[in-house]
Amino acid sequence: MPTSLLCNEQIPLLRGEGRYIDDIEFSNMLHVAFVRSPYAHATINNVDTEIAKKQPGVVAVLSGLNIHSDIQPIRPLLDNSSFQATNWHPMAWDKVRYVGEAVAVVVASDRYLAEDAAEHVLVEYEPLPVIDSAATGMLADSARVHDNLINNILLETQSGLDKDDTAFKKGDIKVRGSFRHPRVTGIPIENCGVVADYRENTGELIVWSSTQIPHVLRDALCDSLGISAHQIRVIAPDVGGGFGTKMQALPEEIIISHLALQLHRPVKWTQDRMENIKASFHARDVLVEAELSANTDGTIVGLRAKAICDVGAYNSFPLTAGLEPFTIGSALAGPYDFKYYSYEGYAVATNKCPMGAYRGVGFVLGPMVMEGLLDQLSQKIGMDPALLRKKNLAQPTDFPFKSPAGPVYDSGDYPALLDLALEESDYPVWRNLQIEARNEGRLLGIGMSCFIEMTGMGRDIYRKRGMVNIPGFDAARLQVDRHGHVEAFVSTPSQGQGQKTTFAQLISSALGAPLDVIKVHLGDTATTPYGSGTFASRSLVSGGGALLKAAERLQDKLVKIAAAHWKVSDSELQYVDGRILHPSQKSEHLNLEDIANLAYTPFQELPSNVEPGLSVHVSYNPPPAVSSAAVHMALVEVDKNTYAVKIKDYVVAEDCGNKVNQAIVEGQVRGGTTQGIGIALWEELSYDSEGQLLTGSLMDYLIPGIYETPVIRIASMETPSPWSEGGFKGVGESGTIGAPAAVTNAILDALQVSAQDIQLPLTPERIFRLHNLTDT
Amino acid sequence: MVQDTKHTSNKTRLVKLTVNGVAYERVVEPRLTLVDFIRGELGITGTHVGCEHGVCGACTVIFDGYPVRSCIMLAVQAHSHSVQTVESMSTGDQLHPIQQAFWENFGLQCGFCTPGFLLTVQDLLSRNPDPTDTEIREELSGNICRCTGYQSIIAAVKQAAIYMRKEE
Ligand code: FES
Ligand code: FES
Repeated sequence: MPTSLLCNEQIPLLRGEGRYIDDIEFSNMLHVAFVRSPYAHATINNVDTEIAKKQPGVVAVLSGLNIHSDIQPIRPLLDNSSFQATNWHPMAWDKVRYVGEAVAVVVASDRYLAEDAAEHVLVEYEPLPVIDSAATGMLADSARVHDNLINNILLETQSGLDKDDTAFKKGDIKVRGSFRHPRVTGIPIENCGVVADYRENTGELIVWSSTQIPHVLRDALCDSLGISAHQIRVIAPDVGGGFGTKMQALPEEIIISHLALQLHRPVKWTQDRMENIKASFHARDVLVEAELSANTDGTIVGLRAKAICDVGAYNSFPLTAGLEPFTIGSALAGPYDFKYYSYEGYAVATNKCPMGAYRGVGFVLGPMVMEGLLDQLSQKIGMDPALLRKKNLAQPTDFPFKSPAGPVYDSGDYPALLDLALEESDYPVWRNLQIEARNEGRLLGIGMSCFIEMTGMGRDIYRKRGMVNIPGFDAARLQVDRHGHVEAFVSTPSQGQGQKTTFAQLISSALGAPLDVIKVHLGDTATTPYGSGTFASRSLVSGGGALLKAAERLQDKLVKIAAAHWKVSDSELQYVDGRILHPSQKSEHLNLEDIANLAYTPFQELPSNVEPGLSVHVSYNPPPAVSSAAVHMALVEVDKNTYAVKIKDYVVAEDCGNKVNQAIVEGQVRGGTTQGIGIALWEELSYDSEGQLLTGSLMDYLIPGIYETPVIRIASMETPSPWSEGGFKGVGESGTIGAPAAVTNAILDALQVSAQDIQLPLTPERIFRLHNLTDT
Repeated sequence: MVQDTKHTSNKTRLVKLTVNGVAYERVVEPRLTLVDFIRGELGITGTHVGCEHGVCGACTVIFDGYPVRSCIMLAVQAHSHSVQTVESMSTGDQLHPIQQAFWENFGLQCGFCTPGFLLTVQDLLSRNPDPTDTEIREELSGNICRCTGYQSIIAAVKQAAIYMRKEE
């Protein structure tokens, strides 16, 4: 079992000494408040800032009208012929396209005064017809979110539609369903925030942001502000959770930077929770209609699916509106092997908050759809759900396995993983409990969810998707000082996932160096090498992979230096457990500190192909994707009177390849699963037909608390990836992907219904309606 | 409540209070929230703001011995009272047993919710030195953590209870 080393980086956080964005203070700091649109779609006729400017403490008031020609709009690109790019001005100037879109900003000596003055900014709007859903937006005569585009479909993608579908048609049985994943959002407990400070003496703009992507954010700032990268330093300080919500460039990041450049004073914006919910980034909001064809013996013949994604008003940077349709298209077949697959996906613009990533992305739809259809099939043919799945899982001998949906998976043992889940949950005992419960008239159900997650994606995937704004690689710089102390600088920052500890463990075992001489630095474009950042469960695969390669290169160098010192050939030497043994004099050896000293002292002559000093920089392009897998099993009881759901037991069997720190992996799985349970039962951002958000606070948008969250039991196996450095596979999003399907299926099993129209979250009201399907 | 109108205009009030045993005196607007006062005026930033509407519990402080949400209290309400924040817990390099237990049990990831949890647990254990899982869940139901899934927090609380019983 990989060591569950404790995380030293948490000590200051425990003591209240973390430095999160809002903890950054400068004596002459200015604070801002944004004026945001109350309309979902409207023309801006005028913005009057005169009264606001006269309010106490106010330093400046800017509107989109004043600045739109100075700042380039956010305009991420996608290399795809169906793609329609959008211009997202960081503050709207001609039109607003969602409730919460910024139209003006007040800069004042204090946040309270800025908010007071914001009340005095007078905006004249002329409301326009609201495109309130993807369904409306797709209608041929729909009003348009962007007048310059030909319609509201920002992207469409298809695969397999032209394939011969005779086999699909011939399947004995068809099951159909429509699956609606709600619009959700990450709710990191720390909201977003930005501090920007322009240093005249060095001509440098320093931007602290609660971001997952410091380097890519810097790219976005360069594009929008028209200044070059070397003039901008982005720092992600302690970040209080991200979950994908913090991997898009925020309009506010650009505005605050602009203000710091203009005003030559540090400027701070701390997002409040209402802003976070209505105007940072939403995710999913997807309807998938799918049909599964199978034979009576349970063999899946094929899957047909269509996904319609409501992506809100603009393409967000860097992923664009293509994120969900592409991911769903590659995720639906999951761990199963079958012949026919066809898919079409649409990203439709509406007058809602723009879409970004949220833990799991379209992979969540994989099990939601497939596992839902499989449960229907199992009822139809009277086959146990576990058996039915086993019959269709890809076999360990199939790898590398080309999924019917297109991607190639590196490795795994899905039947063994399912067995592990069945064993850990004591599945037969659960079924017996269910029989007892049914005899007593109680609604007890079992749900399972088998799925894969493509993680740590490299350049090939982003190239295939046409996502030009994502570099796809990561990088590490590793340096050893003359005393043998090690510093690592890695491009994948932390939002709480313990990367500093995991990376230190990697270095320690690669260099045989004790942990207390290792220091890891993250989240600063001035010190860490360029790379993609933290998302898509990529930190260990991509950042860790870069680090392992750097350690390898460093070892080569250590060997060369030792060889020069002893005047022997490199091929005779090996760096093992932190030292190199002399090839002939067995008592003689050089440890890391000894060799470091040789690397730095002028007295040691070095061969011409060995640079002095001990520092290496490696950029690493991870495999297209490495696929981790898991099986979730949920035992739930639905209260017959209130339709409240109680999760009685929950098991996760997971395989994320080689691990470094077991406790960190389990923390990711439990946290992710809890978020997935939230999607299944409570979380939903809903809008009315005027585009007004109805769930704008944590009193309406409900996220799991300690009382509702079950004990999650984890069983692990390790199928190392043959493709990635270290055999790692990512695991950050796994829990969130599996849980909605497991919980949904358990509820349907409890109700003994075979529902074709599933809309999450399964609130008591929706469960009541589903239950009454049985009676009618 | 002590009446003290010194140094105040009709728009401001004098607030005298102790935070972590240190006496402070500031003139503030009546609308200033307690959390903004502690963080902004006093520069003691361990207390976090997660929602500003009383739901998440990140801003929990101990007020005259009781846990309260400092985002929905005003600084003026703290006049002549005493407040304790997370910074009061450890002594020198020594973590408080509750902090130690959270660390050892991976009871935090990003750490943003943690100060609120630590203080709520401190209050819980002062009243109930050996809480059951259910009691822990009930008592912590006003604190939200988005990272951990809570299980490690429950384990940490149980461990902390053991440490603290041993100390006595
Ligand atoms: S910030 Fe006070 S309860 Fe959330
Ligand atoms: S540790 Fe991140 S919110 Fe609790």
